[in-house]
Amino acid sequence: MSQALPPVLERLRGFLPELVAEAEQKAPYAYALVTQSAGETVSKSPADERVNPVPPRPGIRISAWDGSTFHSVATSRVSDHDYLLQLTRELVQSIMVKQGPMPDPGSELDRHFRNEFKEDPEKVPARERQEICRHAFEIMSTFDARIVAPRAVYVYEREYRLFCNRTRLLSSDVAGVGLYLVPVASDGKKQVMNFAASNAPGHEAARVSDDKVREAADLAVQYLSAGKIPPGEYRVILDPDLTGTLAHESFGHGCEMDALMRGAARAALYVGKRVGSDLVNIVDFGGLPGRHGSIFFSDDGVLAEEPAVLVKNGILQPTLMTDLYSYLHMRDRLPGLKLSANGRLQVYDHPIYARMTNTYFLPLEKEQGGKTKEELIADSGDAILIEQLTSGMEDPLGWGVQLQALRGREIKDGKLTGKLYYQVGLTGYVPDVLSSVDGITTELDVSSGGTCGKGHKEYVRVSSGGPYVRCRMKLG
Amino acid sequence: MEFNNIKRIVAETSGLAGWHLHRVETQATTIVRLPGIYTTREGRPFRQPNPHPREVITAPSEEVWVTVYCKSVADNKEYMGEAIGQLSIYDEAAVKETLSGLIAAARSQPNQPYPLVERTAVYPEVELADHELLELSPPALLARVQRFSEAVLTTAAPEFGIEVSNLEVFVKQIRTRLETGEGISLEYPSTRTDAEICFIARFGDKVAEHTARPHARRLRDLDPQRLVLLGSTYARGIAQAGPPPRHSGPVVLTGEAARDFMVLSHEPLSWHCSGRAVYEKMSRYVKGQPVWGDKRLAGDAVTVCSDPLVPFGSDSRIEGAAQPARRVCLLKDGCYEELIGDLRYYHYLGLLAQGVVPSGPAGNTVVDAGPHRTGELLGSGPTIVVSAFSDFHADPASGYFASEIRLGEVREEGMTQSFKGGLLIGNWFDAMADIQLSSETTAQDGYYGPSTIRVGNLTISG
Repeated sequence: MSQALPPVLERLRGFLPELVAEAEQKAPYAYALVTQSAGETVSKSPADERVNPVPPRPGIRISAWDGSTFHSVATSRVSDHDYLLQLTRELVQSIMVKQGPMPDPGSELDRHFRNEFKEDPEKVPARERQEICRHAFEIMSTFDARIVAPRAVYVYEREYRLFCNRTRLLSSDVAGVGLYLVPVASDGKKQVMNFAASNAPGHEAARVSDDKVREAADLAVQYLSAGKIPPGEYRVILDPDLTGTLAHESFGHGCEMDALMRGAARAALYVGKRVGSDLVNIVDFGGLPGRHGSIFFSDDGVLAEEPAVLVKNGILQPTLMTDLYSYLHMRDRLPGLKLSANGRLQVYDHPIYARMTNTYFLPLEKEQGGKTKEELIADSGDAILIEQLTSGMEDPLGWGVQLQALRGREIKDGKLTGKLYYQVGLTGYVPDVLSSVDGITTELDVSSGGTCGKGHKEYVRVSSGGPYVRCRMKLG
Repeated sequence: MEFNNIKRIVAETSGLAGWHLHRVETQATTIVRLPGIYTTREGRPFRQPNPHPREVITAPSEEVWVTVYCKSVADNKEYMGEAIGQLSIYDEAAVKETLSGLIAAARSQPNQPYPLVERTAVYPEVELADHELLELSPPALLARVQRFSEAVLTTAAPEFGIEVSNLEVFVKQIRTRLETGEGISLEYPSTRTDAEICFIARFGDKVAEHTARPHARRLRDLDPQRLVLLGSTYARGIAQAGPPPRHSGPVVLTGEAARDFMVLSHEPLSWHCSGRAVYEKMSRYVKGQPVWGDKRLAGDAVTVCSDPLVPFGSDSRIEGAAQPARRVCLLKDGCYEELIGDLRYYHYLGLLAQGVVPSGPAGNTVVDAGPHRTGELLGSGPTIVVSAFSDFHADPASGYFASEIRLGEVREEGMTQSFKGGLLIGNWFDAMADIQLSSETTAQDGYYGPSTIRVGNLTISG
């Protein structure tokens, strides 16, 4: 079948079954995975204008299962098929097959996937990307004299993945575009920075209105006079990205099977128990089309077809996120456990772990009490609206959570007062935070783009989102 | 294709104002272990030993990276640009195609011209390689990494209430070759070991995990006994911690927290001292001016250097983009001193014309020791001590931070009560006006400086 892959990958795709067969001369199960990223980055700041095509960076790993351990060999030398065969032979010669659980290679499938976009980023000339960055830069730099160093960045990424085991030959072509605006403002004594992003699978991400660009610059200027929030516990309304990151850091990481199986996630003791209010519904789904964390299949060859419902109506579900290793070791210990499409790696020569993809809170239908954002604010009395996530950190055993946001907006008597706080830290004990969820909006927004580390490494693309969610957290 | 062939193709390409080629040959070995597998029995965690690794990866690789520099003229002005990319090592046509794309990109950049690193550049002698590791064959390297992982598990086994729940070791042998259009030719070996060791402490219902993430050039610098002792101490402390206090005033930072607070990659000093930030006028850097602005100094005047030349330092380097690395003092007695930057921004800022040598890439964080004994900083009255953050980062522009505390303690009259949670809140620049540093120092993952720091003006949101 025609795969519309770059020629090197097309040839490799045809060769992968041979590699797998070679490995399975001795190993009871083997697979091959190829990753290749490419694209272009364009940026504009006061002193620097960049256009940098990212030439293809391919790599392959061949993995052989010995009954208890995956043994892998990985290399960037993807075009030398004889060398790959030699590596595979050396790999399997070194393993000793043991008694142990055996993977099911799945039903036969030979398929190529490609994500949909409105405007093909491949067809956009560098000159057009440059003009977009220059235009945004110009708007920000002329917005206010206190904007000292605006920066506009256009990132186009094209990621190919190939997976092959004895029954499956899968490939995917996933495009992603991000336009990032970073205005820095200074009054001579204080420097502050805003950040705004637009992400989509295609060039449509760069269709950001001039008003949106001005808004990004305006916020940076406003931060100069914004105060720090007085430390304390507050009723907060989280924007969709923060909402999704709360889900991600709490029962996202807390439901990664490899964390549970090593005793590092308290969630193991709470399956079937209440961990949040009735309004809390948390899902991870790589198959959600066109999001930053979307995948067609996991790096161990599982199709991303079913959402993993992690928390339903406040109750922790037994639907855990697995990679092939954790699934093989846990399927007999946890009857009903499924192999989900969450086995992911950062790059071909890194380990595969159970990882999230797109993690989000579900919105609430209007009939069930869901509100509009305006209704939620009006219904909140005194609260803080928290916007623009910068980072999050998990603690699945201690059930702590840390979120960082660029700004908080004061709400008094159900109305935004216009008072702004810059750089807000949020924390809390996860069950307390989720139990305090008492208001949710009706719209689902999973449009953020970012990366997630396993601790401080192994970064993979993810998205977080949901509706606006109201709860209580400690701020500072 | 031979590297020299790639070099020849690049050298013969027309339209280049300069080029750099880096060939990086790597032999990497990774072992990931889950020493125990947990299930739940009657509502309690139940552990079964798992003697076999989760995954073993060997990764031999060779990559060639090129940076091209091009000049262009528009409206009678000369401009310059650069682009970087990986070249195929198999296919001459692909090399030429990549070069062509990079050249077109570099020529489209209307930046002020800048000089390139000259042939006369002198590169520092920096020890980056563990020669014991470097000479090992792939099977011997794997065996060595396996021995290290066994040593960690064996050392941790007798620790009361402690188990290692995850152990990952990544070791790389690296050989780098640099060639430039100016005639620079340099080859150097390096090694790198990164580990992630998760310690879980269990005391009945009190359970907590601490993750150690040591980095070193030499595997032998990662001492299993020290790693286990430290990791166990943190994990036990977190397991027994209570809720955080509310507090405003002095806070003592020790161990990981002291490192995280001062290390250049986490705090805003390196952002404000970068040549680019200064040139683009987004920095508060003014040479000779105090970092804390118009506040009055109430503590020690801090001196902070970026030093890529520390032997076997995890952030040590010989060069970055062909620019020789050198030690720079960013903060001298609390006042801005030098900048971090490459040739380009040193040129734009007129520093090259003054004879100032560019710093090259940032390196290890070296902070001068202070005059205070640790006991003095801990004081005799009630003291709040923070020894680990969940993830400390200060906003690079403003210096504000609000970071969750993973482990702290309240010390009073010889008693200590550990706590976790809550936010440590402050401003990094303001903190520099009221900071006291210990005379005892520590070396931790690229940080060389006081092991204990007392900051006079922080808040804990309990």
